Amino acid sequence: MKLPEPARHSRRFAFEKHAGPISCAIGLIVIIGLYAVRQPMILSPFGLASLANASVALALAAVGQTAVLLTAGLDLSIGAEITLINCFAATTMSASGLGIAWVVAASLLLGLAMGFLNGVVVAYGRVEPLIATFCTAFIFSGAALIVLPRPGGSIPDGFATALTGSWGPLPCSILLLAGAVILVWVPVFNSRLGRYIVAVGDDAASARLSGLPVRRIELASYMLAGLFAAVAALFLAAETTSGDPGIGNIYTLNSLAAAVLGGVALSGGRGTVIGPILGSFVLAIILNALGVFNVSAFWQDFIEGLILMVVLGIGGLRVLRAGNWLALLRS
Amino acid sequence: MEDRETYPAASERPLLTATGLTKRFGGVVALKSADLSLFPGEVHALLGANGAGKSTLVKILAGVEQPDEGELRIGDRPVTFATPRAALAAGIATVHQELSLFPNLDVAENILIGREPRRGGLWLDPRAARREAASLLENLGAADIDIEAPVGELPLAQAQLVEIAKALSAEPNVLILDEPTSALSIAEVERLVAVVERLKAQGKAIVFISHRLGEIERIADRVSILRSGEKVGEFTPGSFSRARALALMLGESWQEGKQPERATRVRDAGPAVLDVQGLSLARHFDSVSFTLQPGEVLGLAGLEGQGQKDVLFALFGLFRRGLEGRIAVAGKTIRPRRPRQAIAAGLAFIPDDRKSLGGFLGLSVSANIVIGALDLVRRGPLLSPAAESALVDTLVRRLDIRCASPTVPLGSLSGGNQQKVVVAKWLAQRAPVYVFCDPTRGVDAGARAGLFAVIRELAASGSGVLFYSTDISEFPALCDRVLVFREGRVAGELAGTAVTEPAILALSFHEAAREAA
Amino acid sequence: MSQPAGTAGRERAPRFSLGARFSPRGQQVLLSYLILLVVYGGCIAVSREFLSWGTMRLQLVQATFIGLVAIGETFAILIGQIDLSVPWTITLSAILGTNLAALHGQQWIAFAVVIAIGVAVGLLNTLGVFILRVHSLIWTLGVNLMLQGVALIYTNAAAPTTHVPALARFLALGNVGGMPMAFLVWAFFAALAILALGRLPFGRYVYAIGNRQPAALLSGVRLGRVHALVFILSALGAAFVGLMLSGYSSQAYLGMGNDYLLPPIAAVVIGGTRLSGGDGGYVGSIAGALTVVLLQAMLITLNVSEGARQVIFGAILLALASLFLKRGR
Repeated sequence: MKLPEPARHSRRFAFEKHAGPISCAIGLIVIIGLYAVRQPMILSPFGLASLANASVALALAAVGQTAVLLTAGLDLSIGAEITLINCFAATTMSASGLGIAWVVAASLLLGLAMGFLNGVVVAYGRVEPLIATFCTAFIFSGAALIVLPRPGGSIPDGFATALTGSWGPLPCSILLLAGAVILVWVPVFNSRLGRYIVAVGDDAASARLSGLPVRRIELASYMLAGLFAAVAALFLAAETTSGDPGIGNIYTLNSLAAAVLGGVALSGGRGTVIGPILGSFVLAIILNALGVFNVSAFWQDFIEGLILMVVLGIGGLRVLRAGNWLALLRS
Repeated sequence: MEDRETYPAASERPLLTATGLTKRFGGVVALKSADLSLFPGEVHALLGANGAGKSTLVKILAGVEQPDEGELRIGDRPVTFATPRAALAAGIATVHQELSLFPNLDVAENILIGREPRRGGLWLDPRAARREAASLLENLGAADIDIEAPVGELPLAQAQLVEIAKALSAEPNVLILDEPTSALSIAEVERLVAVVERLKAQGKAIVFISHRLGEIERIADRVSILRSGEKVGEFTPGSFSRARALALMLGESWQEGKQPERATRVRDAGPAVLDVQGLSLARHFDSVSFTLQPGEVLGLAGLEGQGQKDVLFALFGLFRRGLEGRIAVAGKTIRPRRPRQAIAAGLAFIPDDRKSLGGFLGLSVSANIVIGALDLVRRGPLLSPAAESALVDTLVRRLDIRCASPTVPLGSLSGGNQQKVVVAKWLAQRAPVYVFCDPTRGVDAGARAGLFAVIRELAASGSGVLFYSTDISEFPALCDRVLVFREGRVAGELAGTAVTEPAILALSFHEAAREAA
Repeated sequence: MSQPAGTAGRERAPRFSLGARFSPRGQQVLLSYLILLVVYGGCIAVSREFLSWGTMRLQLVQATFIGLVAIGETFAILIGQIDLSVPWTITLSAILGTNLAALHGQQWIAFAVVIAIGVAVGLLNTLGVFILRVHSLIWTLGVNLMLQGVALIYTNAAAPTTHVPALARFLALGNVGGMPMAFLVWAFFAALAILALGRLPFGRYVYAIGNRQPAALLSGVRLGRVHALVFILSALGAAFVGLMLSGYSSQAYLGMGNDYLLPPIAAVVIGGTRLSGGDGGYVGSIAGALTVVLLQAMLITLNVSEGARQVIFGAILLALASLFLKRGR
């Protein structure tokens, strides 16, 4: 391992660690505030539920992406995983004789299986994560096109309202997100696996020297990503009450942007779960707010791309601080 | 080799036995048929110059590298360690020289990685972890380390103590300490010594590596000396002698008091081709000043990592900022911030790491040679194959590069010939200053002699040569003058016949130097 | 951790042995043409149509579009990067070029737009990839998304008024001495690309950077300049293909570049250029482009759905990547 500059002040380190989530939280408040000035209705339970519904799929995808980023990996297939599961759910939930519960279970398993494929190729096939998941993304989205060549399919109303409605004052979408985090993320990151995921991303060589099963840990991180992608896909299916073989495309890059915005380091080992969630809300609500501010919806892609590039570019500025050319080229 | 039968507890069985360990990297033998026995309650020190094979031996014991030949036994049971995990499981814990820590994890998390205390066999128990880690640190007398601080925030000395605590937390039977004291203060070393004594009393076997002879004298029971990958001697408990150890480390040339033949080349102090004044870079080196005359070979010696290599990197523009001081090449002051600027000023740089820095292994010999001199083989906008092959043929002949044809990839050549190709790249345009940064690393003796001839020829033709090597024996053979670095500063200068291995080694080794003073 | 000496021999172990008479690179090129022959044989087995000049002429034109994009993609992959901003560079260049040409009634504007977009997109990619050091796969995908946004904003998602320059139509559809003009354009630029890689200093720098970037730095290669040139050439190629495509279909529309993300990359990789950079060349990419086009045509003839085609191409790339793109343990 390479130690950074010694003996920096403790408090600064602590702020750096939480800078992502904190600035996202502030940004979120500002954005919702601005939104509310133009459109006070947004602060009603219905309005907040609609904001939540617009953000939760991205938040789930970003949490999944974070699991992989923490190991210093990358999952460019998250969008395609979402697409395939979305199409699978939309074609089977109403049409097939299977019950909703079975389709949900099968969808989660499908997510795990796709994550497993990614993990095997990356961890055991030793293919660069970027290239590997780029390739599997085409396999998954191609498979989605086979399942559902054009937008269609249907989702039972009961399932749709169960996920997108409200439960008392709380939007069900928020409950779904919280449930996924509490049932999956929290247990994983309070057991050894979570600790090892962070350790592998922090310094893979040290992890090997410390006797950690690096490959199995990498594999698990991709399976986690697949699982969260599956939940995101089911939510999207409920939200749109149909399937769309193009629905997942934007989630690949946006999940990455949300994670980086939320303070997750692309170099691995550093990040929280709350950061990417807040980052997702910021991103999704900015895009959602465009209409309110009379910005044409056609600006959406441009602004998404711009935010992504600015966020990634800011991440890149850190690298520019490297003092040594060789260190810079190796980064 | 000393007599092992004299050991009073010879009846005791070794915990771990290594026999005939051999490891090759490419064509280079890093470790040749080494034997090692680790007895319970004994500290076994490994001593040797850079590249003697200590690290390789340690890596094999720790499961990082696998030996090409030889056998490891724990008790009577033969074992193989395919991974560090396997070695750990077998009760061998290692304090790695380059530290195996996680900068973003806190101290407690680092110490107990892989052995986290759990509640209900599943959930992490941070409170228990902090307790356990604190008690381990306390044992090391390092209770002042903030257990919740990220390790990346700690000064190197504290990180080193964390690494030691981490190895101890595995409760190993065999503990390997690879230069554990390099960043520690005297008081911290004292506490480490106390811990080692306690572990000895518990019947653990300890492997200890240090460059500080004083420490070894104090701590070690048994000392093995390595040179060029071979174990050349072993001191049984009580038999250690500094003079014998130095002699063994240096090999015959010194024992026989033989000086390598070298004409003393005293030159007129013409205008310096390179003038460096007060060069400093925080955390790398400090106030380094020297001049290089045309026709002179100036060595930068010292143990590895004392800043001499960073000085060469800095001269060649590899540090983008933070460089202070003055550099003048042939009278012209430069502030190199990228290699291009250094090259334009007249520096040529031959790096140590041919694989990643010097050459393009996948490209042809010819493409490697002309990459820096494409203007010389250009006719109009196009490269001329005829001009290229003429230039390449000349250089291949001049340097006696052995290859089937200049069109074969560089990777297919032997190490020495690869290095010659890297040199040839800079010969197309004659530079006033040639910087050789450990050029003989992983190169066999024949090729080394060839390379030395080239270096002398360059000097004879009026260029100045800066030379750095991890092999101390190369300086007397080649250099007119040597600066010995220690901890980022020039610790001393040797010139002419004073350039000898013992002199360099004395200036390099902390303790030895102190004694001399 | 550095290891003395090393894996030199391992690195260039010949992957395929097609006789000792050919150099490793020659063998790769030969292999890519053998693959082309096999695929063409497969096409003929599927349908006799593929024996007719009419059909093959069509495939040649299709291969031109992929082949032209593959020039820049070959350069980009040779320096160890990738350019995924191609699809919307194509679309934006076609829409902006033909629309501005229509508005001002001047054909040359379309060509000026091609150059402007090529330079602008190339520099933007260089900024992210070389200066900010974001991985090219991510950054160029982000640029692609932003260009898509620009195209949507510009057109308001409606079909734009276009004026396809006659020259663009001629380049795409014309006929010179029985050969499709498009193919001649391809041949011209292919020759330039092969010359640049083989006989220009630029080509040497491209290989040097892809082979070992730090070594290139130490040899005094201007890394930034070469990166910029490569990304500009790649974007220029895509922008030019956009214009040709508008000439081919006599219109410009949103999404017209969407089919040009994966096939050019597949063409480069099938052509024997390593995804990790530093090894390969454009001669193989030509065979790769033809192979990809024939493979697509064969799959369409077999009524294989678009989804299945994506799966097949993804799997081929993944297989090639896992063969050639190993990282350390």
